[in-house]
Amino acid sequence: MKKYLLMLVLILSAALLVTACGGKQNVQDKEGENAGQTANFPVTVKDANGRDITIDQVPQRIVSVTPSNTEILFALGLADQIVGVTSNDDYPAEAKDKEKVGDWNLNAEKIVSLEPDLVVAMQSANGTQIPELEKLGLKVLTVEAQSVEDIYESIRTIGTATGKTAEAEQLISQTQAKLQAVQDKVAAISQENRKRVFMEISTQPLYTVSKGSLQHQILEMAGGINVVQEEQPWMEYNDEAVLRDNPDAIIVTYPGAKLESIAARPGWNQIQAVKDGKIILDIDANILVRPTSRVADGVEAVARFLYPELFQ
Amino acid sequence: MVAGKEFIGWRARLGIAMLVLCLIWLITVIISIAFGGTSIPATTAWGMLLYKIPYIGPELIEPFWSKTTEIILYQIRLPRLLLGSLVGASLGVAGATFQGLLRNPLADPYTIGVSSGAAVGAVIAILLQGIGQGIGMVPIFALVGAMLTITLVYQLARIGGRVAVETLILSGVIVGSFMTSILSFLLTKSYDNLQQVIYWLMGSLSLRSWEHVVFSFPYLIAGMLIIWFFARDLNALALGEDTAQHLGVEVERVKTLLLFLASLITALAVSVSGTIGFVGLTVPHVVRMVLGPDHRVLIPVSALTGSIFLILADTIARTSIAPSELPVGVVTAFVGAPFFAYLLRAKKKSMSV
Repeated sequence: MKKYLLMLVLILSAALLVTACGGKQNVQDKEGENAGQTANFPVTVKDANGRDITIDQVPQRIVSVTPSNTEILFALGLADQIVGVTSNDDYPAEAKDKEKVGDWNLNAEKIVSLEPDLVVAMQSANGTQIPELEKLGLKVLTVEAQSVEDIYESIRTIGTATGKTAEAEQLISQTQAKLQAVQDKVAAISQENRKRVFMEISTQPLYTVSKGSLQHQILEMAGGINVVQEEQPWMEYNDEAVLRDNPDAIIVTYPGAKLESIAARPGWNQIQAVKDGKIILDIDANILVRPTSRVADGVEAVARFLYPELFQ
Repeated sequence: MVAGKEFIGWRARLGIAMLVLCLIWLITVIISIAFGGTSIPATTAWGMLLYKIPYIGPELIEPFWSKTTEIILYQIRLPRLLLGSLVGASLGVAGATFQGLLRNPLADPYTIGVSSGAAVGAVIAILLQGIGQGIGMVPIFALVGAMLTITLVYQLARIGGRVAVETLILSGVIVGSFMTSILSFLLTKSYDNLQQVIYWLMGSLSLRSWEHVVFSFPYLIAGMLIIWFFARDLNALALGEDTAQHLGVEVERVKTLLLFLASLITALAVSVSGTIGFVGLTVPHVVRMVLGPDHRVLIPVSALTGSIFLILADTIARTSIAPSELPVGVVTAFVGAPFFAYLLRAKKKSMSV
């Protein structure tokens, strides 16, 4: 199922990329005619499931039901249009002042009562709830992203749907520039000097990231090498396998982890990362997990941790 | 009360109980409809409820509510209430049937493994068709899961052409644990959707629409009615299978049919609401304590009681931590378990006196 979904997302994003590249010229032309914002409505965008979503007017009341989309909406300058977020949405700080519509489990009544003209959702987080929200007559825009390219597409889609195309392109190019700066720094590191990294996203069970996940891509962009190279984005991992992999660095993303308890795991004192104390516990997990423009901060934070000498 | 039931005929007992419970059900609905994730004045909610009474409603009341309130009440609260009502009734009846059939007070869709089997089927369907594709194949897979489980349990307990009741419960527990392990396995394979699937498993009536009500209504009602139709056979079975056989009950046939029907309504309830525990176990016990073990009374009264119980539990679930909400399964267990314990103690005391 996951592979299928991933493939679907990839094909979709490829398709979107093609149409987006083709369409960009048009958008820019229209911007020239009419300084940007309202001219293009109604607009039609493709959602994460490949469906056409038509938005008739510039949305004035937006409810965001995932932290990542809330971040993107704020970054596009839509603070005034956002009328509802979830209690998990903590960035930017202003998001906390917005009305709450539930957590991972959404409160449909609350959403309807806010009378939104657009609900922005994420397939992997709200999948089961989206069709039910649509049945209530809500306009739902669903995005999905498990790679940097997907993130750009999400930003572009949300930007188009909210009349912020120019802001979206700007946000994308800022992110690209930031990422490029980090990648330029780490490019000089030779293959044999690259740090081999293990990313621990949960303990008991021990879960890690691998190919197909945003976190895997972040590790690579930051000049690291993921010691886990499986065809599965997230997976339960055997602790003996970590001993065998012997990573140079360990990134722990869940809260409450303790250095001593990791070092005290049987045999883990043999691991290079533990010997060197190259374990980071206080990295802001949100910049590694949420598919937003802050992914560039995530890549930089990882690069800084792996190669502090490059950032002096 | 206990003495009384010996003297009043089952029809009278059923009639009185149903009348009282229908009233309580109505009051429960009227109270629950006024509570939700957003505050709608109770008078507005009641007015809107009244408005929906065919023919006389529109005569009595002029709509004075907004479009938004209309969606909240008619498309969110009302279907949810009715679905809770249906699911509660089904679980109550399924519990009463399993308990009567297996002559074991601990039998219910959970302990017999059927709920877990249905859940395995449902989760497979959800993962196959992708998260968020509506009902789709879920009920069919849930039904297959439930049937497979009950067949397995039944075959496992079958020794020399006879099914011993004690073995049936035991094999129910075994197959149930096996199904639970499959569930856990499936969950580790669906890391990216873990939260949604787990929440669904805990049992919830949130974000259900008329589609769920309309879909499950005919099967659940038909299933419950047919079970009720076999209430006399259940009574005979309570005397022991040999006695039932002598009384002219086709024991194996009736047993198979009733196991099938009870599994069917369980599977449907699971496919629209996830696994909600403790309704099937608690409700028939309470009813039996008050009205006696006659299944002709027990089955319909368990349906109404289960219905009321689940509506109330769901009202607690959606209001206690608003705007978020609890899985209703958590509430039923949290309220049900201590209540059940209290009942057991109370009964023990009165019996020892």
